[in-house]
Formats: sequence, structure tokens, C-alpha cells
Amino acid sequence: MDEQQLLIGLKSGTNDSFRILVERYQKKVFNTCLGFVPNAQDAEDLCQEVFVQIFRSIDQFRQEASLSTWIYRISISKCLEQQRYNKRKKRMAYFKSLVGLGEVGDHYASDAFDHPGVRLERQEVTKLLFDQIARLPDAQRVVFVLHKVEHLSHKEIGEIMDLSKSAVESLVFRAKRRLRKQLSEYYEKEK
Amino acid sequence: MKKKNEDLEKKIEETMESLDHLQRVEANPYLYHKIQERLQASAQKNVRQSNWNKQLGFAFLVLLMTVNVFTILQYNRTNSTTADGMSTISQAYGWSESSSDIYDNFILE
Repeated sequence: MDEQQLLIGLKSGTNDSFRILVERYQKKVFNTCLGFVPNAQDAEDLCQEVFVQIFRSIDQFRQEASLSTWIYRISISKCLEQQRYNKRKKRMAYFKSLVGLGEVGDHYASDAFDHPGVRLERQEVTKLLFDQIARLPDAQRVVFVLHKVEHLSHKEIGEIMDLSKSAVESLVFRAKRRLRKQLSEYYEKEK
Repeated sequence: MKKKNEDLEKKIEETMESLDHLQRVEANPYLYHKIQERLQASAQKNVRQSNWNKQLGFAFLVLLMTVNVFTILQYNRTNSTTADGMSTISQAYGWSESSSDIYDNFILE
């Protein structure tokens, strides 16, 4: 079934088309979610939310971009939403611990790192990099994850983010520079 | 000093390269069924919400009607009491029943 037939099926509400769509894109969506939220359980929840959103808003898809681009956009927006929510939750836990309403150290408990694609011996260093990626500004973070985790080309990232190829290149460059700086500060402090 | 910087650079480089060793992961094979369950749960929740909204609307309507009936009854009772009070005052001062007479009499005097 090609993309056009799939879209016709989806818009007419056929369950079979939706199942094919999920099977075709689940790996992409799941790995993208893991790139932003490196925890298998959280990423799976996000993945489900992405497909629920696709199911509900398929009528709004005007085919100005490819289906894959549209799915990436939804995935990214859900992931950023989740990250903002996690940050708010941590901030609340911090204030609660300050006024004695929460457990001491609640705000330190980061979302447990559990990326099934990372080998055991590389867990520590990869977790550190993911922690630093989470501190990047939204645009730099999105571009970096799509480039390094999803291995998308600058052109494809540009289509997803509605940016020119040179703008994407500049964002990747700035993200890498900033990450190096953050890592340098981290290792300096560690000494 | 130079060695320290080299070590630091090496550590940063190794950390930056850690994503190159990231393996792509298969999604849960039951993902489609889980999504279906979520969609059904959400549809049921919407139905429950809609029923709750209908019940809430009906309760509000009943409350509104009760308040209205109560207000009308109260208004009627107050009117009859005021009318009784007026006639008592008129009798006490010796005024006639028609209110305009009070002023007519006053002007003539």
C-alpha cells in the first residue's frame, strides 16, 4: 500500500490502514521519542500519544509535506511538551522540598535513564551526554537529536522544522559547540 | 597543563561520540493494541463526560426552576402583606382609600 492509498484509508477511518501506519512508523517514532526522553517506558507512552494524535488529526493533514515529515513534527512537539512537563514537575518537587512538603532530594531524582539502545559499558557517558542535550535550547536540541539519533540529512531536518539547509547547519554547529562547552564545564567541576 | 587539556579534550570527544554507538530499538510488538486500548478508553471517558454534563445541566435547570418558583411565591406573599399594611396606615390617619385624595385634600386645605 503506497502513501496515497494509506492516506485515503486513514481519512475514511479504516482500522486496517491505521494498523499499517503504526507498523510502518512505530520504529521511527519510538526511536525519536527515545532521543528526547531516554527512558523506554516514557518513550513508549509518548509513542502511543503520537499515534493517538495522528489518528485524531488525520483530517487536518493537507499533504503540503510528506506523511513522514508530518509524523516527525507531531513526535517532536509531543516530546518537547513532555520535557517541559518533566521540568515543571522537578521545579515543583524542589519547591515542595524547600517548604517541607516533599521528600528531601525529590528534585534531584531525574527521570531514570533507561535507553535500551545503549550498551551497558557506555551507559554512564551516554547518560551524561543526554543530560547535556536536555539543557540545549529547543531548536538546537531538536536539530541535534534528529541529526545524531535519527541520522536525518540537513535537508530532511529543514523540511521538518521549516528551515533552510544553511539554518539547520548553523543550528547543528551551535549545538555541538554548546555541548562541548557544557561538557568541559562538567569535567572541570568534576576534578 | 598541556596533558590536562588533552585529557579533557579526549573525554569530551568520547562523550560526544557516544551517540554514534547508539543502536536503533524495536518498538513494542503490541504497540498497536495498546494504542487501540487507549483510543477506546478515551472514547468511553468522553461518553461518561458527556453523560455527566447532561446530568449536571438537568440538575442546574431543576435548581433554576425551584429558585424561580420560590421567588414568585415570595413576591406574591410580600405584595399582599404590603397592601394590608397600607390600608392599616390609611385607616389610622383617616385617609381615604384612593391615594390621590391625600394630596387633593392637602392642597384644598
